[in-house]
Amino acid sequence: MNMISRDLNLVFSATFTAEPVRRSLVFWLEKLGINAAIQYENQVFKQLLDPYSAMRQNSGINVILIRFDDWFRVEDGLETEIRKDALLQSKVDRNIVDLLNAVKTSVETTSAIHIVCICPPSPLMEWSTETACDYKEIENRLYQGLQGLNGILPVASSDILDLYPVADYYDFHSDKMGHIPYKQIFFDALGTVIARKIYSATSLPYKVIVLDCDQTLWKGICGEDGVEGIAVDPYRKQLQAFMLEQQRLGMLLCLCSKNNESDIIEALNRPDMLIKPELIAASRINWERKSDNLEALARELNLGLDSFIFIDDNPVECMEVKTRCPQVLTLCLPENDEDIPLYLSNIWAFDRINTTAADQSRTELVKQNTERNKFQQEMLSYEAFISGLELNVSISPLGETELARAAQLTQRVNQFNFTTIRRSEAELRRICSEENVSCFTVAASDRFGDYGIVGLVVCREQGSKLSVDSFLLSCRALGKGIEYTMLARLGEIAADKGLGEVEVIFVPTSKNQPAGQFLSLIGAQNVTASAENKVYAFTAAFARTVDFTSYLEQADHLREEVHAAVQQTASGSDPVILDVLDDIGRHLNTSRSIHAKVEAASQGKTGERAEYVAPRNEFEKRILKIWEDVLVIEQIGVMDNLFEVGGESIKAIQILSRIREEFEVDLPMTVLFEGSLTVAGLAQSVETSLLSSFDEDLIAEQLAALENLTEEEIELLLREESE
Amino acid sequence: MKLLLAQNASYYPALGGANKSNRTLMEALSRLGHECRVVSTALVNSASEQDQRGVGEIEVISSSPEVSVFNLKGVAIHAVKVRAAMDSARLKDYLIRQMKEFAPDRILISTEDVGHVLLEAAVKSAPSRVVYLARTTLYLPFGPDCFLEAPDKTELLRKAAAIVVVGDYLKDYMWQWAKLKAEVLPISLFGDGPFPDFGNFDKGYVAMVNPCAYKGISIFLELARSFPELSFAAIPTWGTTSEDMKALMELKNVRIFDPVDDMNKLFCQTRVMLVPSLWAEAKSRTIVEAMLRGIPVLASDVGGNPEAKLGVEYVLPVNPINGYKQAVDERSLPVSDIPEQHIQPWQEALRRLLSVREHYEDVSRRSREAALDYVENRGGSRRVEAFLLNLQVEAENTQQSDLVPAVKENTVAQMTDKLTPAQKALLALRLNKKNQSRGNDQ
Repeated sequence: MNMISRDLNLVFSATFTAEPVRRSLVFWLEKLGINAAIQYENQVFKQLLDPYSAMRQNSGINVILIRFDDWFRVEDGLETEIRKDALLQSKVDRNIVDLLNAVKTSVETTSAIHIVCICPPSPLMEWSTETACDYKEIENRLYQGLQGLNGILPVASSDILDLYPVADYYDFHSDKMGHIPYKQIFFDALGTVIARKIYSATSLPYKVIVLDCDQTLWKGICGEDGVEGIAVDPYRKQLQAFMLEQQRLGMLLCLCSKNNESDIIEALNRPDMLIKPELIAASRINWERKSDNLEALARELNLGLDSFIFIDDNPVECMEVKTRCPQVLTLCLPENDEDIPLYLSNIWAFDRINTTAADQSRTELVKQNTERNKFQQEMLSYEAFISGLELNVSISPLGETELARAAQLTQRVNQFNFTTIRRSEAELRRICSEENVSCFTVAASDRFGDYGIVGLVVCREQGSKLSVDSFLLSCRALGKGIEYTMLARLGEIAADKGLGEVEVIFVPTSKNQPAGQFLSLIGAQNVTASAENKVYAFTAAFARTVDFTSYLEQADHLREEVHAAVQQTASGSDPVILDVLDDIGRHLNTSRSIHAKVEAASQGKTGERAEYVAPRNEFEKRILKIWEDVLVIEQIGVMDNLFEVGGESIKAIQILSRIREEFEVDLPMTVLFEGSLTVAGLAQSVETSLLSSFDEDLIAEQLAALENLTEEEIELLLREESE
Repeated sequence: MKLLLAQNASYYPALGGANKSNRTLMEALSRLGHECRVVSTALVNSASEQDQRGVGEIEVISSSPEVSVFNLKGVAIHAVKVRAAMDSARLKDYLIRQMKEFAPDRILISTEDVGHVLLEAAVKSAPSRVVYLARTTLYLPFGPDCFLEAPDKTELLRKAAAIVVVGDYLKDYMWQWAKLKAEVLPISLFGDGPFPDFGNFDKGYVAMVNPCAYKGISIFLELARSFPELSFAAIPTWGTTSEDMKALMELKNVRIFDPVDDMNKLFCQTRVMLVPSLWAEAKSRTIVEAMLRGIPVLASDVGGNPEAKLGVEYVLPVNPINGYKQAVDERSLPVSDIPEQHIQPWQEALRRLLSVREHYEDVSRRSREAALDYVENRGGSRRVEAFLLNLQVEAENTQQSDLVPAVKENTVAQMTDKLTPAQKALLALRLNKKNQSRGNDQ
């Protein structure tokens, strides 16, 4: 999957002290190879409303964190008071309206993406007897308001806590003292949710999920157990439901299985299956190599392999696909069935933002295309195919309701895209409102169905020319001549405006050869080339006469090349990121595991953690085991300070009590307060405590045995006897 | 003189009377022309937050992820970022560096040093310059009201040049339980005034600072329930837990306020101050502060509270906390069982104060007079300065050692003290195995 941009400016503003979210965010952005400058600003409303604020000047990502507690703090002589009562209800209502308006203003006037997180409230919100308002109701109202705005990525408090449950997230003490309302483990989870949103917003989305069948969609093997013998266990049921939801959000579901096709269809028709045959966009059920089948599916769907996710339970199949199709995100299901749901919900590639109506009908569109392809094979000539399609192309000015889809096209279309300029809804809206700029959407339909909005043109009057800034057409509409109609319309527009020339800028990328070939084929009167781009100039009079039928023969030859270009994935996915995505799903999928990893990483950075020293004797080994159990962290060295590896006072007490039990010693609490709390230090305290429980004669006897040994011999014996 | 104060607690913002008193003391000594430096912890892990809070008042010198250095009223504060009171290794290392770099003439170690690691570092470095400022009974290493008994730490106290205490109660405690001599000095300063008279029979809150188990929240809550017609104010600070907060919020006549640095903001709205502590307060700062403003105080009869009340009535009975469990909560505070309380004397006192105008006004006036007298005649920073200047430096202090019996000899410790870590570990391992096999044989 390609990143849209790897350099970002992030501006944060929160109603509380949000600095602690930084460390997990830095951790994730580094992991994903995103360079980001992170800036914190006070006063949420000022940031959103002041045209000169850091947020309003930002073209990257703005993150707004809201906690309702902070709205309930009122000035009352004695600084502030936390209380909610009837009087405050009106203040909350007003705040919601004001916030929505402020966010709207900021979104409409900047090109930045806005992530708005509603953070969970403190338990104090629920305790007041004067509760005149229901917190959840307030959150719902704000969330729905945010959903109604374009260009916003809203996050509800349940989105955070459902993905990364933290039972005891509130830190009363630090809220009171420093306005830092959450424990670090929650801040790490919050940073993770924000990082997921940033990842989704800055990455090109995946489009296809290819699923294996046996042991993946169901438990059992169709060919051996028979269709009746396979089972949809609860974990597979969850997997199927997950995939259905992905399909609803715009993913194409395909099957790739080594099986008999009829068995698979029969299996899918079983009443307990959630995924039904009609929901599958395409499939390859045969005994071929899976990598070959994936390539065939890519050709059939006319999509690049780097937009594919492949899911299989079999590590050997996964390895084969990984090796031969490295651009595919290959996910090997966890060995334990119960780990499947957590694994899938932590594959960030499945996160979808900004879905449109077109996404939800994508499977339908693919099926229409299959019919179209069949029809084409039946026709004797390309010409006959084109005329038989009864294609209808409509080009109309871009309206408010089409903004989301238009922005999505700029984000997704790679092959037939002259300049590959990516734009957000806000940017498109702003450009449209500029003087001398025209934006058009292109919709198409034929006898097999409606393609929906498939293209976009943005052009600008510049002197005597109509300069084309964006010209793009979805790959599913290629090969029908729609691009010829689009160019002709540009000719008409130029002529209507009295402009003599249509100037098309072409910026070559590793993927947009189809667009380049189209321009070469038309043959401009004047082409100037530089290192970065080529400028094709057509007279308006010529452009308006461009007609597909005149180019049919050459276009037919080009079609194969277009197919090849679509498959080409030279710039495809970064294999490192693909491995990171899989690693996250497997190992960084709970608030605790993330917290531990972020903790370790941030210590590595500040150099606080001591150099690793492995346990040197039995005492250290056993105490280290207790630390690992209590702290749920691995790779602790015996010289690491408890507080540098994520420990806290309560954990120290738990460790002390476990040590007392394990060694049956009465270790005093004072050992916890003596400065550096390490495994080595505790081991020594245990030794001292143990020694004092033996009588002098016994110790003297044992000491005599050690008397003539060198230090090396002692250490050797210690290691041996600790085994 | 170059003076260095060290405490395992935040200096600014100061939470709790002891830390606030350390601050007013250092500021006063700075005004007298001494070069003052403080090594403290940064508040709630956030040096940057600390920087932000002080905008306008404090001058930030430098800020790093480890330590924030700033100036406040002539005192240089080095706020070290720690994660908990137990996480004192870095604070101790920083103090050791500062003792070398700053070369202080006197090192003031506050009782706010629960593991006594700062005391240990200072005593090892320059015992004849160490002055122990005892403000909190709980954090002493001995006696029935301490949290963690540690005889070896008590020995460290004997090595200090001097022990200074806030009042007679602590002086007696020191002698009774450790045979330590201490000097009572006005190390809790209340500023130069003027102190407005806020006593007001007609309106204002019945207020309590730091409502929590140790400070007697149960009495506060019970009074609030008994007098629904009165308005109560709670100012949660370091001791208040979320459960305490829940209990406070459940009462309609209790309002909850953030802590304020300028106490006048609280006192100007206060009718009666409650200090119903259940643990052995050394000498509650709030009592004197409220009395200075003519606010009657109902205080519990524990520790140094009666002394702080300066002979003015209402010192009321409570069932005090009787020892601590060997455990701490999430804030490193000791855990204890809280005894049941008899609310009746408190109810009667409050009822009388708020129903008889003459009585209220009389108590208000006498409270104010007594407190003003204390501050004017017994509370000057000059006395502390003179004591520090006159302290004998260099000649190692032995004044305390002849007063106490030698610590009981521990033969096992003598036998094993000189062993290398590996020898000790092997010895312990073998003895432990022997012990286990003996256990199995039986």
